[in-house]
Amino acid sequence: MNTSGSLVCVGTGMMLGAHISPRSRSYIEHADVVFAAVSDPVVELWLQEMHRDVRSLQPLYSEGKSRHDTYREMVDLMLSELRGGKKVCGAFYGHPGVFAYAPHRVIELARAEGFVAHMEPGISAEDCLYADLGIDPGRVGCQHYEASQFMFYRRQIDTSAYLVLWQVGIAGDRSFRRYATGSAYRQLLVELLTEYYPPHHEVIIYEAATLPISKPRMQKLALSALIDTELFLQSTMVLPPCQPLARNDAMLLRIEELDRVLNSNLPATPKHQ
Amino acid sequence: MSNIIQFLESMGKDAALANMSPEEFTTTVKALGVDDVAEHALLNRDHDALNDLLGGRMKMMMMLVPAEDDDQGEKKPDEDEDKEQKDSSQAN
Repeated sequence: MNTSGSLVCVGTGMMLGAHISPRSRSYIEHADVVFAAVSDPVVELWLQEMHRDVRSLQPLYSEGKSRHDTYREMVDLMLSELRGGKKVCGAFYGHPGVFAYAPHRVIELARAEGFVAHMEPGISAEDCLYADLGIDPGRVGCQHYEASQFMFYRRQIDTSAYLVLWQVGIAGDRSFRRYATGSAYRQLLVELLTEYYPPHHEVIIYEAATLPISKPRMQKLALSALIDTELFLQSTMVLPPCQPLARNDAMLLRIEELDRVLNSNLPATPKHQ
Repeated sequence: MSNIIQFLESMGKDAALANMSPEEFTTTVKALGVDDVAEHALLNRDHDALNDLLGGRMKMMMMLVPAEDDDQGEKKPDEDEDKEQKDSSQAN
């Protein structure tokens, strides 16, 4: 097989002009063909100005069609051009490897067929969230889940860390065919969350800004108010901790004992004359 | 309309442009020389109006990951219908 083609999946970042890396831009500009999956129509127009052959992946979506099929078609389209010997670039909004199926899958399949394929990172919605909301995920820890998956499977939630639920606007959609789920589904999500958090617990609905003339959405509300709050495909819910970190006294004691043993075995420090 | 996108790109790239005061923003937008409709959309920071003007898509889908793999229990739309029919026939 002719493996002269190459594949790169790049991140465009979230905000037009602000986040794309010089290297990602270079890959876009020098590709034979660019496939684009971005979250803002103006950003898509911006990409089209970077290259004469930018093909939007948006037409692959439609309400009522399984997104599993859409993602498979994205992969097939990119592989088809790759097998034809082209330099293929997949340009995905944010980071191409975060909450994104097709970029990982197409790279895996391309490599299995002997092609050179790799990913270039981008500034993700998660990165913007930390900056805009002033959250450091290292301070008390941070858990991230896709909102529907969080509902479908039993998880162990640590309420002393942040909890971030992505794609909350379609929480509970088992068909993968809808563009929104309603308040009845959110009621179920709230019921699930109130097993861990009080109903009045303050949560944040976050949406990153995609144009430099726009502001991010950072709406604070009580958890119970989520049911009637307007949510969009790009909405994310952040739940701050509702309890302090609990010390692990047993482990701290074992560390203290270990420190004592190791210190007692150390040679005496020579005294300076 | 390309100069509107170029302006947005410059605002994205350039910290000084990104942090313009309202007065500086108005002056800069007016200096672009775009038509009144575009100028109005920019001055109002009206994302939807700008998109209409530039001819962007009306609707964007940005979901790139499924909640579970397709062998993990995707529910087909006709499953509900089948179940409803069975329930209905049982009720009758």
